[in-house]
Amino acid sequence: MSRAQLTSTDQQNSGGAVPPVVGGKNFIANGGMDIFQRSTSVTIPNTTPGYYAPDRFLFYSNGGSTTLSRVAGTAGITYATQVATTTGNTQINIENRLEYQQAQLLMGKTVTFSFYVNAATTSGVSIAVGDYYPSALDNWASVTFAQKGTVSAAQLSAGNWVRQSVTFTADTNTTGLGFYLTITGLGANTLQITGWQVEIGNVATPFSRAGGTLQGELALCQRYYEKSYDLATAPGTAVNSTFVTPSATTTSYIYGFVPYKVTKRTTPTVLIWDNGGNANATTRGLLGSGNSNNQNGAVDDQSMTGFTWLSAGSSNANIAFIHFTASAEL
Amino acid sequence: MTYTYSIPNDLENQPRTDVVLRSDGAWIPTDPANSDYQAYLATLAANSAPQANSTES
Repeated sequence: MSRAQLTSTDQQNSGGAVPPVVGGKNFIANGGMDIFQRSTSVTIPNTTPGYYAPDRFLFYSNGGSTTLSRVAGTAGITYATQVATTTGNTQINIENRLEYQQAQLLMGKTVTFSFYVNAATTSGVSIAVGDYYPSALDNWASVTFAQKGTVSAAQLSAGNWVRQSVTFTADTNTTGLGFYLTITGLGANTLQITGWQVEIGNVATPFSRAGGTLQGELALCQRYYEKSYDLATAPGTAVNSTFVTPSATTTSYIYGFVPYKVTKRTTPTVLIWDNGGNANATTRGLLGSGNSNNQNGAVDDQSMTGFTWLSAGSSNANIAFIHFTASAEL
Repeated sequence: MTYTYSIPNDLENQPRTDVVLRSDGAWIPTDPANSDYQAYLATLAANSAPQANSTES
């Protein structure tokens, strides 16, 4: 007998009596903010939405100066993101976008969007909760927001974590689906957030990683963004790379290949650095004679699985290094 | 944040058709599904033409 036959209509719609912690229940990759490949502390530009700190989360700030930093989480979730705003801030958006192919499973269904939030000061703070979608297939240059609920100041507790949830019918379209919080009334304040979960059904079940494990979560993130640096090292940091290509001794080009750890959503945008942290450069070396940073470099062929690159310089070299990031974000 | 774009040349000094070089050094593939390429196309649509060719390396 199938599970569908064993469960009521409500349970079928809500996903049934699934275990509370299981990979795939939560549609939000990195909902527990385990992975911060780009930075664990960064001041973000005003009115420029982007992926700055926790993987898969897009942040937008309007007014004042806003800093994102990784802080301790709650309820067994190790990390959270702290949004520190300054006087003049009128809006913070926190968003997480799903590819259409993944989002289809949610469209038209009853879903529950839950998260943990801790605001230092709650007076005047309001959080709009909803989903949103792009105007073209997986092309988020233009989006439509659909507010589904509100978390008011009265539902928050100054300096304490609270879990909030909103249940609604996810929008249906042929382009994609994301989930967002719009936070207003912060001014100069700090707000911490973690434990994002979007699941089918009308109940906020205990938080569960989308990828099931830390490695699963990292792999989910790496479908969209990958770097050559250690996880705790921000891109562009001056540190020796292990992405090295040996060559016959030459004053001409050295040609290298980088295979991605995880196949990307689409052909990604690539940035490269040398061992000294110089952008768009390579490090060339002659074994036994040391290395030279800031040598010319270029990305050549690109695909979803890797890229080739060139190092050019005038001095003899038989080895070349690069660091890289590859972004296939939505 | 405002970027400018250029079309790099290949090793034969011909303009490449597979990539756009952004002013922060990002190598953006001409892949319609790449969000940075979508942003580039939007910039073009706003009548911001690419700058003159630059050599690759």
